[in-house]
Amino acid sequence: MEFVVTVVSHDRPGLIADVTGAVAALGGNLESSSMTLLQGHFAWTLVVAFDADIEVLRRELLAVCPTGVTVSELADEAEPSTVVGDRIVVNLHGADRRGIVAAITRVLADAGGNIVELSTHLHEGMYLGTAEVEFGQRVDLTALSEALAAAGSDVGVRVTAHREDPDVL
Amino acid sequence: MIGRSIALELPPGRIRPVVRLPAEVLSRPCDRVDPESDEVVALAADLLATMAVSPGCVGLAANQVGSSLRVFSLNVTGHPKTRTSHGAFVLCNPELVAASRNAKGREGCMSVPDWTGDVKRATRIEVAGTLPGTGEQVVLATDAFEAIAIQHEIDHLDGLLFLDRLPDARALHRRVNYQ
Repeated sequence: MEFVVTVVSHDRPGLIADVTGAVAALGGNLESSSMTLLQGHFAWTLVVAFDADIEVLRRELLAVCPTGVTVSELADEAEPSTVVGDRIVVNLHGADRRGIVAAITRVLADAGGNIVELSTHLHEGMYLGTAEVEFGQRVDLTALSEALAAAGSDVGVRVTAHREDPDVL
Repeated sequence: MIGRSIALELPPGRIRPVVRLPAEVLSRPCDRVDPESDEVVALAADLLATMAVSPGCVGLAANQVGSSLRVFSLNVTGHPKTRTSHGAFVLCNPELVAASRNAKGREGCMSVPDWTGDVKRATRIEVAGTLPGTGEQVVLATDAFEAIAIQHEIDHLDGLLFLDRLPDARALHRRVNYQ
């Protein structure tokens, strides 16, 4: 059975070793995870395969990180198809204000885009962001760039988009 | 710009399966070869034959078909990012002798399906090596996509994948299968 675990905590050396040690001690397997520091706070999302009671896993993880662990069962859904028509990288930066991400992601959603990676940062009043967006079909990059730039202008940020075509070697 | 095409006289090759991670042969440095040996001539032909039937494949290292030998094939002809091209060729015991003008690009690999990574590579290089069969020693000067592809293949021969060159934790991406 697969579980989604989130760990949000004050950062400290050894936290990842403690969490993964608890999972391993229970016979669980860490499958995929993504961790970052958000405004100095440790934030980690994990998918863990584990053949035991969810309460056991929750108890053992709370023992090593009492302040911020959630555990939930991962719904047994088929992985969505990775066949897509286009992949666009969107970068934004500007002075912080409310509604920047909402405005830009609304343009992407209206264009049929699905965000698969997103990272945003507030630092000393400057807002920075990068998103990777998949589309079901090849997009008109010029039209999308213009729509993003217009939406960015409304909220005071510069937004650019480019196509990321990997080379298979 | 077209570089000098390399004339190779090789027997017909056979198509060989391309190995994928976590095959151990991909992580082991390959052994130097005798370019004039029958084994290496047959391997060179196999690499070209396997490349020819693999959609989108522009290069193949010998350990990608299971032979831990310092031989790779390449053909970037017709790729939109190609400037200089030496056509379809095979090089034995290749050594990078000059490299400059680094640029970052996103690359994938037949042996690492489903993933790509942002990797910095030189876009102007000179590579020395020996042609299979004749044993002729050559130095190829090239740039752009052919330069990047050659470095990717030499990395294979050193037991390195693009995964070993990721500059940071955000440089790994799921690979998209375009419709």
